[in-house]
Amino acid sequence: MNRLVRFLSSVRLAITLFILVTIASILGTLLPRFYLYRTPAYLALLLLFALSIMACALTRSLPRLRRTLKPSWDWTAESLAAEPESRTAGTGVGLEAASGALRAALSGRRYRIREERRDEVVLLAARRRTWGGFGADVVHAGLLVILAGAILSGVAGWRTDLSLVPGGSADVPSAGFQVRLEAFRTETYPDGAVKDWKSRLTVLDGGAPVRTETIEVNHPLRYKGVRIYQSGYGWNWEEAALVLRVRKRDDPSSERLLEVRTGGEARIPGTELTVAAARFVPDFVINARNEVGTRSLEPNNPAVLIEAEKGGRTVLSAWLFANHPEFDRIRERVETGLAFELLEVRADPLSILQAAFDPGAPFIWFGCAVLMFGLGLAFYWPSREIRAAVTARRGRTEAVLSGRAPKAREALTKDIAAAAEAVAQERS
Amino acid sequence: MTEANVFLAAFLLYIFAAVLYLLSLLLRKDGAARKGYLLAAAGAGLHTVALVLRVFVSSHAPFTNMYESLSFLAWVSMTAYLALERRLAIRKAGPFFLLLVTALMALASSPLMPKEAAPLVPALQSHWLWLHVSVTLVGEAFFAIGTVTSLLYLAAARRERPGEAVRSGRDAAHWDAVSYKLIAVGFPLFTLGALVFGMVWAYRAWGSYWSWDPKEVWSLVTWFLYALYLHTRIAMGWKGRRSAIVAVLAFLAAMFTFFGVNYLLSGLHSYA
Repeated sequence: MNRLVRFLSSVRLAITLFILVTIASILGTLLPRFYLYRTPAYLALLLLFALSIMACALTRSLPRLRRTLKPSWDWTAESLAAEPESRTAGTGVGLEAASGALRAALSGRRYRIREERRDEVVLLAARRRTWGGFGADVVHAGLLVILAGAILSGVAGWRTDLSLVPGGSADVPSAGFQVRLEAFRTETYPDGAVKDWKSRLTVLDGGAPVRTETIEVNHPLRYKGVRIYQSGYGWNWEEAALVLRVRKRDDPSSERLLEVRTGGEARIPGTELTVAAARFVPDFVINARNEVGTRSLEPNNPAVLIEAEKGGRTVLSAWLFANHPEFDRIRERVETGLAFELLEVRADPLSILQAAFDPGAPFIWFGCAVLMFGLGLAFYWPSREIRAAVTARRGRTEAVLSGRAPKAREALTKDIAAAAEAVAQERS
Repeated sequence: MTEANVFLAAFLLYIFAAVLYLLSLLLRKDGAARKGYLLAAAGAGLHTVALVLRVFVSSHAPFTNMYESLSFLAWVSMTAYLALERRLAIRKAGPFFLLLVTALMALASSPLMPKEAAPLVPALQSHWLWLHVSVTLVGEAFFAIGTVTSLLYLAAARRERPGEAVRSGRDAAHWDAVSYKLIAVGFPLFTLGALVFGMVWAYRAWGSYWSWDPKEVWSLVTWFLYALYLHTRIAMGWKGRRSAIVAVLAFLAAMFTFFGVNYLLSGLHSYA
């Protein structure tokens, strides 16, 4: 167990994990979306990271906290003198006066001082911005909270898209309530670019309306912990109205307009033919396998597959293109003498909403706050710690000082020099 | 005076400032660098005017497309440098830093960058746009200066031979310490702007605080590399060459996040 904790808390492991997660994350941006970040290997890497942070907290932070609250007083003049930051100052005054001068110099530099007296030795532990020393621990605690929140989001959270036409309503799955779209509006800039989408929504709980609110991008609605976002707009192609123009080939003036719904059919007046809109795509494309599909949900290249029947027999099937009336892909089985065009496509706009439940989010925000507080402590409030041993020997008093301030080395060096100088200047 | 003219004037002042700084380096005349500093400060002043004009013309934050973002990054970096030059004693980094700023300005004014102030798409209409981008870029400005000083460390350390040139040795140690300071100031800002504010905004606009969008992942990669820099330094006592190399790599990742992701990887951050 101890060996495991030692392994997990080692800086080497942390560094290795940094490098591995970095490389893996970079690879992930080159692979198809999301793929790598959901693989067990990547998640295991993150988990190992969390364990390493926890082990680091156990083995470093707790002892450090103990040391801060209660100095160990385990240093001597000799051990301090061996440290790289150490300075030594001698004076002719007695132990009392010398340690008093040192205390005054350090408290003048806003250090808080504790003292331990032994025979002929005074030990001083001085700290400035003590809590800054715990910045890294606070950062790590924040990261653990964030990781816990992310796990909670992944395990218990859900999100789902809802498409609503004005007047329509939908169940919000696993939320136990419904939303009804009262009105949907696309606002545009003068140049026609989309400025915003606004949906007026009513929340129906148990069938009864409980709240009506207008949402827009960046301003979701919140009900029972579920957030409803405006994510975009679309077209209700499933119920699009298609206007067809039918003409006799030998008499172009014999024009008739026909309205068919997607999936519906209509009789062509003056003939025994019925025409059905078998399939509609808003943005016609043929893929590599020679199948018809749609490139997008925008009406960039609307096309309809019509099938004409006469007495229960299909006599014609053809793809018609609204943007390319001259071009059709007709497979005619029986001569009908008719020419078809797709004249117009009308569809209701759809409001596309996203419903999301994310129980991890509060942890994320709390974790972020802790993380930022910790970073502030660590980098903008760097702690300095000075230890000193003042010894009286054969009528002369000597003060040895050393310290630790990994994030404020230069300031520490100055403080130590100034304190040493203060001792050296002390005269009876 | 239109925004484009003021921008151009600022750009020209930066170029002159860069020339003066370079002259001071080559001729070892401190006076030229001091004049360069004044020209750069004047340039930054005009640049500020250009950005304010931009905000009035477009009525949104001045960092919604590549031209604006590059210009803003150049402005923040320049301002941060001017504020820190004396305090951190980094005047010798001036010539190189001004070259970097001039390069950013040149890139911003290249014909490849559309300059029109386009209206904001729905997702960008939020005050989080100001917070997210500006704080991130302030963090990156510190990283930018820290990168120049890291490169100067590498150059100074190469010149250094054991037993000779004490001065260059002192230079190297100075660049090493200054680089750390700059990165230590930039790191919390980058964390707050890019990751924390980014997550808050993503949660409001996209309904999810993290979507593994390439720009998000690359921000995380940048963050990891700077965290690596700080850990190796603070916990493992790395200094000098190894530290400087990590710092430069981390900044390359930051620049890829800022720039490369938009052109090479597609995702949710398609607008900037």
